[in-house]
Amino acid sequence: MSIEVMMPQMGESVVEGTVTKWLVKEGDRVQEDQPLCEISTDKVDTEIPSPGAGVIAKLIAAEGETLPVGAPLAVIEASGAATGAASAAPVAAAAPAGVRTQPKAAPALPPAPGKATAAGAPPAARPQQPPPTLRAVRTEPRPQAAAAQSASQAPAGGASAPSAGGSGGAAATAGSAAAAAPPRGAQAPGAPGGVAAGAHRRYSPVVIRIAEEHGIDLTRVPGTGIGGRVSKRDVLAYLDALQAGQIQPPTASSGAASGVTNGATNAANAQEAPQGAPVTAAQPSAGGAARPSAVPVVLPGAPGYRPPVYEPREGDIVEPFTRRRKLIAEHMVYSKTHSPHVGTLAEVDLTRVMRLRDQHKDAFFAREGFALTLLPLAAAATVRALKEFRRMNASVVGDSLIVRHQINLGIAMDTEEGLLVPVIKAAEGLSVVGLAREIERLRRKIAEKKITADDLAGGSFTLTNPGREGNLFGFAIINQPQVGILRMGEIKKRPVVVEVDGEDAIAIRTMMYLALSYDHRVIDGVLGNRFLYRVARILEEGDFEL
Amino acid sequence: MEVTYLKAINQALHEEMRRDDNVFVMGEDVGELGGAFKVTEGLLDAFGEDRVIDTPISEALIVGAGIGAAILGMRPVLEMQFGDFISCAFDQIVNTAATLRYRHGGMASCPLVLRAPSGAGVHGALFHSQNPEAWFTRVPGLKVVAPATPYDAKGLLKSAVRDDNPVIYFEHKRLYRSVKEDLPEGDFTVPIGPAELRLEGRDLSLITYGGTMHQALDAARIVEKEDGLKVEVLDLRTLLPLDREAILATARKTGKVLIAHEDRLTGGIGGEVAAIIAEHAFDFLDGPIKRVAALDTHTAFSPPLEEYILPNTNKIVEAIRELAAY
Repeated sequence: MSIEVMMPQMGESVVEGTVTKWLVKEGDRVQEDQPLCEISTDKVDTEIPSPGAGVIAKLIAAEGETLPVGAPLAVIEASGAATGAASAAPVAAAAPAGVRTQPKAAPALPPAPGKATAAGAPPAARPQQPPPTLRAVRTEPRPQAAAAQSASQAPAGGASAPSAGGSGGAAATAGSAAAAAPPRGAQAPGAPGGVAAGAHRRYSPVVIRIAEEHGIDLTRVPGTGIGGRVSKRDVLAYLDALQAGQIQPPTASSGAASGVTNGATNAANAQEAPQGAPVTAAQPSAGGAARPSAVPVVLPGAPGYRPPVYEPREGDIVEPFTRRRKLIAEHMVYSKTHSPHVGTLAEVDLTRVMRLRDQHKDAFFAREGFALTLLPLAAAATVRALKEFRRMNASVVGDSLIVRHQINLGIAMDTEEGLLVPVIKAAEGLSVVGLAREIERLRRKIAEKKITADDLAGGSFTLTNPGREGNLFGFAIINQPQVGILRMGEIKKRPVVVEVDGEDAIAIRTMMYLALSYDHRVIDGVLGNRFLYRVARILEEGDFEL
Repeated sequence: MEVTYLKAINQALHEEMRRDDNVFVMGEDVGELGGAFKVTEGLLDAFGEDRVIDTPISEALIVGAGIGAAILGMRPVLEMQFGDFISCAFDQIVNTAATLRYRHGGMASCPLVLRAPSGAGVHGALFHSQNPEAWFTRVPGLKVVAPATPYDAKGLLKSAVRDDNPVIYFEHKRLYRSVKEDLPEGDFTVPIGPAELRLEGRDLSLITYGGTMHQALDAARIVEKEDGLKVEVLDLRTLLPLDREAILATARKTGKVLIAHEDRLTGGIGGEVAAIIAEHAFDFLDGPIKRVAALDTHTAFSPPLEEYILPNTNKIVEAIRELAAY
């Protein structure tokens, strides 16, 4: 009896994940729930616990490989107890969708998630509650992994080069995999996030027809069907978004997917495989991968401009984008090209609120166990102002402004792997202390790498505080599809003119610049200014319960 | 006035016999007993024993005599007491009745109706639960209908009586007293051929007929309420010839098709419907064409086993959810 470990569903919007590290090797004996590998998605990083006890028969996915939800990662030869339990499962229920059995497999398929767990064949990542349809028991590994492995070892094809020594080698091998474009298992060139081009990217006839009629690159369409499958509904929704201008049509920078051979793109994709491993450019002849910009890339919206061709120099370091970095980059470009940002700046006198903080910080720390910072106070001021200016708590969807009822405040946080924006849900119902606790809870989850996709989803407005030192002020890029973002500047003591008993005087005050970027498609200057002014005034008045 | 499925058939017989003196009824226990299910009740009193004829227990005889009468211009309505025993008359139906017009170059016709009470779910076990329609839907020269509602039961029977070809009329025993409907006064017919869209939908097409039609409608209502799914329910009504346009229209509309029938899976009409869709609407499909049907075994006498073997509302709901999620 074999158990197949599959890429789990780690959040509603997550369609794929990258195996960053195997924690076990073939032949290892594993216990149920023992971590098998680390998975990275665009939203979260997590460990996959073993669905049962047994011996690792095969590791299907390679480190660095990006696979859709439901794709097989490994096969565990289950030990006796699990087998018995599985055989005892009732026969009656029809196999749920997505459960694939080999003809000779035990006829028993667990009908309910609970039984599946008992049978030792739960999905790979139970804590994330994957849908039962993804649970599966299989007896044979898929041939796909073998294809992927042999592809990566195959001769380099177009990008062929003598085997490069040194650290350039890894990139060259990966470049070969992409350039050779094997039919199954390997990365689809140009697919965003490198969706595997194998069995999990088959499309139904209607999806293919619609894509052909409208020239849609299906590798760009997010799938909501079983295992991330792209359904008719998905492609129609994508088409709507495309026509509404919410999505950028594919350009040459992603052209490889639509059949345009583009060395730079192939190279960029190839580099995704050895993710996170910086490569020196000391071996420029080591294949396309070492020269990310060898061929100029046409930028969206700037067809005439070509960035200069990159000439490798000894000592240069090529740092391939990680998956998250790629997504951040795409999001930033999307936001800047789709929503005209207006920046507006307010000066905030924090003297009173900092005094309030100083008065309460010791008691707060004693009570809550973490330090009271300005951030929850700024968050509280933002939420209070958003309640008064509902239109700032909104999303742009197609040709509509959707004013969100609930205030879900995103707080940008710096992490080792890049920026993350966890979301405080229903922030309108929280006090300053409640907001502080939420921020602390989310911060800890990030530190412990336990943040989930759902923690990061659903924001309606964002507050960012990119460090206090050397940051007088700056304007953030809007977190789409929201309509505004507040950015805190450096807190500094400055001489300012104040009025004392009707007389002007110069005083030393604790000051901060607070910058608002807003989407001028939907927010006019008067509203943007009034909102920012209101946040600043609330913060200055310092009328907070602590 | 609310009329049961059974009463609708009875009304159609009364009305057609009154309308046309050539119409007569023949079968086992159709006269004095009024039929094993009371479908022919009252006919003997109304029309006499020349037109309501009790026969020996021989389906081959009933059909054979009916064919002779039909050739000579009568319009016999023949009853197989249980559709399960229609196979006793198989040769008379497929080799004689169905070929008559062809053999005579269109110069002869065989306007008979063969009523076959069929279907399971009534704990009738393997000889009183069959759905034999698929034996006949591949025979040119026959027409096959399977009404699901009292309106269709009455209207299709009238059309069958008036049709100049042999029509096999499958009436589902479970529906006899379980479905009721207000029927319009006066004469009306339901044409043989067109399917009926029972429920308009968007997410998925559920193609069905006969007794399963009601389970399909229930299932569609459940998933609409619980899952927000809009299921389109197409009632085939006529199984030969199939309404290809209606089948293809709904398949093209939703892109996902589930076929449900009480007949067994293998060789059931669902396979033919699936083939039509795969052949002519392939470019519109967004998922596999799925079928819910009886298991490929005999209908068990044990009620839990019978339940296990037959399709039901829950099984259809499950299949809808699976396909919708695909």
